[in-house]
Amino acid sequence: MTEIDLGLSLLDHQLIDSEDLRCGKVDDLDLGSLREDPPTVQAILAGTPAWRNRGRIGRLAASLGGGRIVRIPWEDVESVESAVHLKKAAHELGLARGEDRVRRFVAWIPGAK
Amino acid sequence: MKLSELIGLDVSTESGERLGHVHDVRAELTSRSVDVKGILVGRIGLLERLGLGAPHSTFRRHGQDLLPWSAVVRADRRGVVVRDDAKPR
Amino acid sequence: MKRIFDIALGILAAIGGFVDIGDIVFNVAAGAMFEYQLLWVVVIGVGAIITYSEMCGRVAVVSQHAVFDAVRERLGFGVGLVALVGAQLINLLTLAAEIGGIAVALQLLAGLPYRVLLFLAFIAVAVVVWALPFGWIERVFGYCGLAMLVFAVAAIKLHPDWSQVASGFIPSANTSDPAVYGYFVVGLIGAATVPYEVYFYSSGAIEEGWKPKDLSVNQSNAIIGYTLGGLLSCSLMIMAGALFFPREITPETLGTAALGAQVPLGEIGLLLALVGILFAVGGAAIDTVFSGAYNMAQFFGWEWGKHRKPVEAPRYTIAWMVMLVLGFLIVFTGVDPIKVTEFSVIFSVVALPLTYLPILLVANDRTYMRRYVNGRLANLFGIGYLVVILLVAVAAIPLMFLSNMGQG
Repeated sequence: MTEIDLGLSLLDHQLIDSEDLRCGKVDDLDLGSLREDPPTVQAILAGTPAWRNRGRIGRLAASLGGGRIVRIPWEDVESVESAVHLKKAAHELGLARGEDRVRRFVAWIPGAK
Repeated sequence: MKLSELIGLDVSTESGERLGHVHDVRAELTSRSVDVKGILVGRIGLLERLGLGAPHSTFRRHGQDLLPWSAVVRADRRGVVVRDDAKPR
Repeated sequence: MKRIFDIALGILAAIGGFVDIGDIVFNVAAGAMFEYQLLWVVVIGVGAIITYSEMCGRVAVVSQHAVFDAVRERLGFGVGLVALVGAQLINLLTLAAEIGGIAVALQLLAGLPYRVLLFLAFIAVAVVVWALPFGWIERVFGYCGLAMLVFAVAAIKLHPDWSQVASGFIPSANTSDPAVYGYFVVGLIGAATVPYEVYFYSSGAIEEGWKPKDLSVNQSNAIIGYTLGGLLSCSLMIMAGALFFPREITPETLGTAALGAQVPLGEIGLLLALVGILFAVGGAAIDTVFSGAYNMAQFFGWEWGKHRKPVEAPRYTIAWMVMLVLGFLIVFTGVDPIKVTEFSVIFSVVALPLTYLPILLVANDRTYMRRYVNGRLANLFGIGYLVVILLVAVAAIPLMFLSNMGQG
């Protein structure tokens, strides 16, 4: 049982998957319905479109980028330390797709693997 | 509602007294869930966002109030309304 | 015994890697304009970089957070993104200056056309960054950069008035042009604290897999290495003060700086100076390229680092490649690398508070740092230097205009 401040300890923190791969940041949190007693964190939201709610600069950045929002249900979270560790691999959760999109530009160079 | 939508909302009492803005949300992290316990309300925004009021931070800031979630009457996009007798901790 | 050897090697690499083109340009120019009067500023600058490198290193090792992890968490997405864009623009300017510096040094050594050498420098940096392991890069460029020690020898052989030199460590301003004096104060502090150094140092700690138990050794290496590197910066100023100041020579190029080693030490002095400059500036160029990629990856949460294969961290890899190409293009337009250096140093200072503040905050956070959290000494220096940096940051641009970029 630990007390945390969501904005401070979860928001903008690193996501690390079950294979120790860095796979994005916590861009937002879905708190579900605030009429619950108490409300709980339903899911982590990651992805460029999630920046739309992060202020004016966030909106600007979101409009410049593409991609989809990835929703990670809280059940898939293994632990919260300085980074948020997940129970599954990035690909299973739909994370780190940006890497797949650009991998071919790098893979052909000798020594890339 | 998303956390980013909750943070920054106006907080006022039922009788209309403005208490400030939501700076952060205090929650309890259990092995299975993250349960919201209260909201951190204050006036100066920047210092809070820099983490000067966190439970484990060396610099503990005074003047930032924790309102228990049980004191919240209504919370939606228009703002957060708390009971008049809400006691900040 | 091996441990002492390792420590010594670490210190040597830190000394050789300390100086970059900004330090060369500003320390030599300061010596030529103000003789030894600005030596005290070098001490302040070195103290700042030691304080914040130690902090970043500790934060990185204990919390596995490098600088831009901390920036995004502590300043939030919006302000953090502004800080990122600013940092990248400055990194780019710095990189362009360093690539230009490599080409100038090569030109003095080999005599080929400048633009050809720029392209050569670009290719060489790309190959080194792609192919060599992290530790190798640091060591090779660090050790070869030790050739810069020829400037320390030169400074001594020029027989400066040592009592004058000593009084330079006490702040005094005997000048008819306070704006120019102020500009150099800003420039010297900026050159000593260039942001890419902390981005690189903190990410490097994670790259090399330092564990908390390695902290004291690695930090001592950095502290001793940077202190001795600071003495090297002082040597540049003393050399220029002894040689250029009496003759009222204004150093316009890196070649003039190398002259400072040739006059007292002959051809061997010139050769060592040029080799030293080549590797010091070359190493800095590489560090800057890495820093640009580290910052982007750490802000957006991408996988990063030389400890990953390129296919495991493709966005990070593309980031450093794009950074290198852009840096090359900027200096390929023919802009004077010395001018670019001055701009990059001054603008670095302006952006520095946004870099140092999140580090100071995270270093004080017990959730991340556990028992390694800042003690009173670290906070005394940390907060003290943050105030100094803020003052310098505010004064930087006005002084740049008031002093006509140091020309008076």
